[in-house]
Amino acid sequence: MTPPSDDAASSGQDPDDADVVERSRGDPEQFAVLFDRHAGEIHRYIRRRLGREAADDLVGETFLTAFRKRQRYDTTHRDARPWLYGIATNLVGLHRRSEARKYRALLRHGFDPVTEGHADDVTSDVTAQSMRRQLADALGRLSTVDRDVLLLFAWQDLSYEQIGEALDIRVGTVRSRLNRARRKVRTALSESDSTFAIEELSYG
Amino acid sequence: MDELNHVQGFRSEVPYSTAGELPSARNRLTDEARGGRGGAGLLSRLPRPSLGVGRVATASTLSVVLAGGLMASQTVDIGGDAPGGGAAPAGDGPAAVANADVLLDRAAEAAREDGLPSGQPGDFAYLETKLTVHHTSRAEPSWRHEKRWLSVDDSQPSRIRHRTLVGDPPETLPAERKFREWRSQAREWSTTDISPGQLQGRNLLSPTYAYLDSFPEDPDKLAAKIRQQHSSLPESQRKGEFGIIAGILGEQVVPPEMEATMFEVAKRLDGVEVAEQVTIPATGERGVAVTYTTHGVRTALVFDPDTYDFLGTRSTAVEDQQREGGSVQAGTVLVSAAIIEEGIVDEVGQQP
Repeated sequence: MTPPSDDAASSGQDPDDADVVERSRGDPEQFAVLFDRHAGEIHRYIRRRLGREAADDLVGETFLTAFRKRQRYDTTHRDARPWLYGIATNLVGLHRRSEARKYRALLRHGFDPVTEGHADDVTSDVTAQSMRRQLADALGRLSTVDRDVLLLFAWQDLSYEQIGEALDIRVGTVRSRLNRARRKVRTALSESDSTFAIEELSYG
Repeated sequence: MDELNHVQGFRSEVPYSTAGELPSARNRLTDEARGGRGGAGLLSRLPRPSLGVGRVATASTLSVVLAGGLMASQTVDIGGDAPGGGAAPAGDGPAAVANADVLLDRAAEAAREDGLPSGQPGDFAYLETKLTVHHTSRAEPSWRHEKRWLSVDDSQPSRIRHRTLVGDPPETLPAERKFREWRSQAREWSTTDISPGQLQGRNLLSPTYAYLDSFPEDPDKLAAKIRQQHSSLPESQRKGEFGIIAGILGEQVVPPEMEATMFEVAKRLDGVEVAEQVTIPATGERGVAVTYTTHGVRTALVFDPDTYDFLGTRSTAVEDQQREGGSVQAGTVLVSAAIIEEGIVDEVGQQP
């Protein structure tokens, strides 16, 4: 963890996130430093869930919301990412129907509206393509709260503690949701594995 | 390879953008940081009259407007998108969907595939919507966010929770941002409980789920039923069958087969057109739409451009007009309704 740095400014060190939030209370424009630090990864997280257009919009919304709540930010949390991911995840939650639609489109048509236009999207590997569809189906079937935990863990590398902080839930709850989400995805994928095996046998 | 690796690899081709590649998001922040907006205190300045809940609370806003109900003195007729109102008119540029028939066919197919479970007596139809309503007596529209648990057959107590804003969106913001910023000020939810037997239920302006489920699945028969109910309205309120369909689809939980049949009924109406890039102001979602214009207003049914799932409705004045309570300028969005989530649940308070 980054140590507290009350005198970061005077000592010339890079201020950590909490320092930036603290300064922005007197000098609002300082908050842009947080944007420059974290907007890229927050944007990609939203984009992987909802697609480019929504991400462009919601990343702005995330930082605007954070900016408006900066007075209430607990500066003992030196790393602001869990806070920002919490806000972003709440906003993604407002679009959960849209998120589910996109998983469904991939499942039904093999076409992913989220990755459309990227070369890797079109894979000739039938197994990989089928796996994507199974994954989309499995992720789409998770409850929103389970999916939030799983994706923050798998995609964004947040720790249990950071996820708990982001979603305002206890670490034990993070663990149980993550276990449940992983178990459901594992079951869905193992069912698809056995389907492949049967197909291969019948072709062999 | 375990399931976590698979999840990690899922959509991993989505590229990373640097903060510098997100200028409009950054500008929103820096504009606000420089004091470009009113800041705190907006909420306290806003009057927050209710749009009215109670016995008629379940009637769709569109339908209430149509039927001259409780908002009639304040609101104007439903309508469709106007030039400059955020929607391209039909035929403006290459359309991804060739015509309204193709779009409505795809929408019907998507509705049938949707897999919404069917509601049984004792269940609740859950619907979360966001709405905007323009009032002729005021310069600014109201915005309403609503969650309803309506007894499928009106045999159980139903509940509606909502929060409403009526006020002035900050003038300093670009049009697209206005609603978004303004509605973020809405905080307080209120709850209305409705006793069994109090939903109006058995008419197309405020149907229960069970009533909708009892409709004929044959588009000709359904069209006849809608026509019959439409013609029983007072003449001043007859604004077209398309408006009735939009009112039901935008603000009720509709059984999937019935939703599909309604799209097939819409297909049979003359004058239905396709419009691209239609925004629903209540949420900012954008999609492809079928529109129908009558009495100076254009009503749009908006669909997801990728999956053809139904997103909501939007009605816009297409010409300047005098209405009871004031005038309306061409381009004004009169009503918009976006479906956030819907489903069948076992009890009030539960979400799908």
